[in-house]
Amino acid sequence: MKVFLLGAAFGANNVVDIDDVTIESANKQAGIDLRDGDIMRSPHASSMRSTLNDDYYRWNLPIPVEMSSQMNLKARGEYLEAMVEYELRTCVSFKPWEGEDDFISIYPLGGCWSYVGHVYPSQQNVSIGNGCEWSVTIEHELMHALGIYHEQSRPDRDDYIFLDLEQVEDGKEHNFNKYDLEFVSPVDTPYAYDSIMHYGAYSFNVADKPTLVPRIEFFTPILGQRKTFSPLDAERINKLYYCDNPLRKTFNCNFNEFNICGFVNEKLGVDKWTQYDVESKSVIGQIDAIMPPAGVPLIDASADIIDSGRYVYTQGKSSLVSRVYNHYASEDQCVVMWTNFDQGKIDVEFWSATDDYGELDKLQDSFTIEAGDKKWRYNQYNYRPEQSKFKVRITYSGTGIAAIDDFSIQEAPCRPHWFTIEDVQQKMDAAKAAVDAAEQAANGEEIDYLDIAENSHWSDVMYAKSGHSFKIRWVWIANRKIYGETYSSAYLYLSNDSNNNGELFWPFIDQFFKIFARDQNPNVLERMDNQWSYVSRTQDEPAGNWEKPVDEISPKGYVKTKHDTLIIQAQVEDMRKTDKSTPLDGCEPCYGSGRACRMNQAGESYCGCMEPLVLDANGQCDCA
Amino acid sequence: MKVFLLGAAFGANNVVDVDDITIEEANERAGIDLRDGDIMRSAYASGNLRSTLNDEYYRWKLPIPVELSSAMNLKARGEYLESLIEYELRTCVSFKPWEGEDDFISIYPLGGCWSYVGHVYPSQQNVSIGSGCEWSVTIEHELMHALGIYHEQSRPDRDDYIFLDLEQVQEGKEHNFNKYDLEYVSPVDTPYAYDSIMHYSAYSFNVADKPTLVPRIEYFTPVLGQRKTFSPLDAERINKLYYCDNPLRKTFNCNFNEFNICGFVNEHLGEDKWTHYDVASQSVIGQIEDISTEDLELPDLDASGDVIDSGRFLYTDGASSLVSRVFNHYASEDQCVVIWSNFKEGNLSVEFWSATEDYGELDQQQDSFKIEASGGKWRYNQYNFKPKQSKFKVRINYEGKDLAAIDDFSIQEAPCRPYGFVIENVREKFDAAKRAVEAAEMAANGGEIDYLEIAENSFWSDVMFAPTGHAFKIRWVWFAKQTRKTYSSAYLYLSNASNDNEELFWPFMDQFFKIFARDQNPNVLERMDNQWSYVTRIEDGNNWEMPTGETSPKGYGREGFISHFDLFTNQHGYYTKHDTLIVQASIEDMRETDRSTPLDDCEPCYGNGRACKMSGGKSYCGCRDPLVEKENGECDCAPGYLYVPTNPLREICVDVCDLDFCAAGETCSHVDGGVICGEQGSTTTASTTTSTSSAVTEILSAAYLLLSLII
Repeated sequence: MKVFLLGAAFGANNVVDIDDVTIESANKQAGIDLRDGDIMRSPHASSMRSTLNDDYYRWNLPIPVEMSSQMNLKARGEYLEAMVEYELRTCVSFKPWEGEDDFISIYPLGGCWSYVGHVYPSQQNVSIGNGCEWSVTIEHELMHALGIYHEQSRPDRDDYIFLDLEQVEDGKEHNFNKYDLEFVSPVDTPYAYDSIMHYGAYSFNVADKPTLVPRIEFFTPILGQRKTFSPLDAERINKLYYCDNPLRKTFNCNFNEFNICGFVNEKLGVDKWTQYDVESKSVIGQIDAIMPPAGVPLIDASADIIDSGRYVYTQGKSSLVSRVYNHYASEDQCVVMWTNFDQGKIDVEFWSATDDYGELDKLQDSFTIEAGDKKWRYNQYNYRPEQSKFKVRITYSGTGIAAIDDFSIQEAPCRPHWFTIEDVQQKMDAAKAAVDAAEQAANGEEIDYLDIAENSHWSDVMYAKSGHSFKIRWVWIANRKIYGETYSSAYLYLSNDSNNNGELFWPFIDQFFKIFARDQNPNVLERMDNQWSYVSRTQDEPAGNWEKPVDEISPKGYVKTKHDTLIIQAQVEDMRKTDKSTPLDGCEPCYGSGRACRMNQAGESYCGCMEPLVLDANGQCDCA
Repeated sequence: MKVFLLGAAFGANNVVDVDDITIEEANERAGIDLRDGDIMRSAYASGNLRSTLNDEYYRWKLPIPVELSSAMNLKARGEYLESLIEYELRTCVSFKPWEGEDDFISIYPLGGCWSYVGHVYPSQQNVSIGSGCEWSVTIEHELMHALGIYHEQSRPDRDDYIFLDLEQVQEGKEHNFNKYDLEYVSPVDTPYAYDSIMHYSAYSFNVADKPTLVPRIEYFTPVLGQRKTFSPLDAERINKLYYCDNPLRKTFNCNFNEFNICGFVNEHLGEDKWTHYDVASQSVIGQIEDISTEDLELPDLDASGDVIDSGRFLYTDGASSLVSRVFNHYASEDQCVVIWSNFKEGNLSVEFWSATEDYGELDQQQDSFKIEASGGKWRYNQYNFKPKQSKFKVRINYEGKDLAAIDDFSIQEAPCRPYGFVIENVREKFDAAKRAVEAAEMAANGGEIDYLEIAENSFWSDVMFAPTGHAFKIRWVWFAKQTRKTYSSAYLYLSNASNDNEELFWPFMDQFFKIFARDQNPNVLERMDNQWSYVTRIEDGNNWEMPTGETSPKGYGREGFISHFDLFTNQHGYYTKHDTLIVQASIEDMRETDRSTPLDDCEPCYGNGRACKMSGGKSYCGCRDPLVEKENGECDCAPGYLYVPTNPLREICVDVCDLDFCAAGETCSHVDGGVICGEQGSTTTASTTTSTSSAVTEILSAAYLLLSLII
């Protein structure tokens, strides 16, 4: 695996900047120059029938996918991330190939590319080559395979973006084709500036000017976003694949509706959870006027985001019970809730529900949230239900005022590590002042932004499942010379002091770690977390970095904050024992026209003829 | 048709109150007392009450063929069409006239309102829309039963959400409050829907004046039993149950709150352009450079205001054009286009263009409408566009030098209501009415007074003209009457002055008219209009004859048209948003309604196992699938098949050979009149084991009984 070190900075603070690259850069480095960038044409479909509007070119779900044994660990880790995203937001699902007639095989064939739609019988390739090992790139290529073109290929794109052909590199104009409605139907959705199928503003440009200028200026820095599916991306996949209930794997409650999403007070005593409307500063949902007590929060947790601002509070001990939830997809249910209380505690309990009447049956699991100060606070818990139906019970014990908001469940594991940075604006301003002062003092000389204490925020020590300890460092101003004011950095370091444990394995290699800046949108399906990942390797510089402690690494990116609070999350997966074997191994080599990897009844794979071709006398695949 | 005159008031102002009644009342009058109110049990499924909801077997194939009996009256027909539009707009469930499909729903006025739950009968399944059930929401309710959905308060977890006060329930009526376990009435992963049309009202089946159902969130007390239209959760459940993949494609909504302004875009980016404005921050958004709005007198509220949202709209301060993306229309020839506007001078027009097939560009202008200046207030505008092609684009054009703002643009694939008027400054008018009523009461000194005589208490529309040329007016009454102070009324009157036209037909009967108070929620799919309808009749006396100077036609309407809770809460239906009330109406001439139906040829069609069937386009009364007619004219399973009434649909006839009838090693095969058992490959035993169908069935009944006992 080749890692692209874009501006690797081995400064005083020993960091290595490993940036993810765009599909465009990855293909450039791989020497791939396809019409439309990363779209491979099937000789079968050379007449270019519409793959989008023609059901014939759509896959049956779930789609069998097999990964070549050559796929590196980072690609494998990111592939799993892409699967979780498809799972949560769409009904399109993927499974390992078990000999089904048609399947997708993913190889590092050089660059990132895919065919559009299901155009090959038997085996169809997707390439996730060097630099493509990024969940959003994998999502993008699989979206092509599902039948979706680039957003800027829409026939009406000129209404929405200005294509400045003078800025396009000579010979690269073919990246900006547009196709007629029958080919790239918008499936009745507006132009999606924030689609992962959209090029960046500076794609294929000659100098430093953009090639694509959105007619709504706001979208300039959004074009080419590489976080995850935008809501419109998910909507289109779901329309194209006739998804009837794609969102069943998430539950969201911002407590803005009168029915408070099916929550209800367990007993209606004097103390009960009460719905409060921030705008009107009043209790709602009651007929008798209730004066809210002094000290209820003035903003709701969903604030800063388009909504009316409502939450529920209680004054005194009381319990809120949910409706019955069914879980379908995952063993892990990531439960998130925002709380605001400074006295007492809140217990969140998970109960099995009776099969007949859906009543609370047995307590299965719970977690406790301790009082903090009077601020909205993020809490998460990874619940693993033992049965398909469960209920949630939220109990406040105390004599103060406790408020909750933005409760959500998503059928995916919680990210195991996280920390929050509060008073973001104040810390950012302090960092800026310190950087300004340092620059002034340096009098034009180069300075190391990592040397400035105020410019960094360090997490506490966190422990991977393997027992190794690490820290995350947040840097407010990455490097003004390169990025201006607009980027912050995040780095993962092996912790120096806490790894003095002889029982741990060293070096700490083949570890897939991922850092997220959390999008705090209460709606899971609009949430687009900023993310970066890396797999630690023996050959990483400086030599011995993953031996018993020194430091490491990360990317750039900008993040939205809410409540002046930034939430950083991380996960670390030990991938040393990853099994890379695949039925595809039994097919190597499998070259030549009309060839595909097939599987016989006994489950053994072999290189055969693509359906409906048959092997003729001279060993060629041809029609019968 | 029987009309229920609830407290008909022939006062000085001559109005007739025709109230719609609940399913509960209609069934009480019809003498129908079913378990769960209006749920009929299939003889087939009586044994074990299998879940019709979670079992796909009991779900209909779409579209569902429906046939209306010729005995259905005009009001039921008019309201049936209204309910079909509601199904069409909000769900993927569609209905079509019966053309001989194997399975269909027939709607008869069989006495009361009722339905089976789910698709439980093969061939023909009945729904009853009897007297008092001729109301779109009642028809929606009964068809929702047929789709497989139970009452909301039958949910197993309902006690968490409502308190059932059994002491208040009439004796013998407790069976209306059954709850069933999760497998039967699964909530399909949705929260308890207090506002479902499948929910009883708070006072259902009560003894005195206390509620039987008390919601644990008090807000919902007046919401329980709402009878407007599907709540969003109702639609969501239907769509989940029927695996609807894109049920909302028939509506387009834009409240201009998103940065992408729903795919609208400026035609030219000149100095004057449509600009995105955020009310909360009082600033232009979507631009990188700051645009100052200091010199502009922009609206300080967006049109969607009073509704949960952030409040954003578009404005321009000079001539400029906004172009939409390409819209596809699927369902209706009529596209009701709504837009809110706010400008003092100049011209605002909305144009409809065909789109080129290849690149979806503006091709030819097909139609347009002009909007008048509104003096710096948000104003509602609607237009019924009939596209000539499947793809079209919209162009919104301001010509003028002043400021123009737009908001809440929507298209729904249904006809616009042709009549409407707006009452502005609702609060002020309401308060004036209140003062006048109080003054009149004070003057009457405890005596009875007629609220309709108090001038300030009424608001009259201008004269409007029906498609037939007849003139009418609508009267809005703020306070219904002394004993019903918390309701407003709406009445339709034949106009006196403008009907002096000998060329019009008289009496003005068989006219289906409907009055709506519009829910101004910008989201079509959350919109729940308050509504009432009536069909004019000969029996109404000479009220619908040509009015002369001396006669004053009575107003027909609903005294309790809308409660003040609904009118002013603006939380569950936004009826007085921006202090403005929008009243709409429609009139259909139903004199020529063709009531003939293939069902006519099936009359009479009585008896067990009988159903209306069609063959070669001709209908007849035959045996319900899979039954066959025996020599004695009875419908029964074919010979060699056993009748198992507890089995669903076509599985009521079970192949005897599937029941281990023959001994091990013997083959079981069907012959004329029954089945035979024989040794493998041997046919010689045939003659000895052949038996008549009834004998076989008898033996098998015993065998089956034994089998079920063992199981």
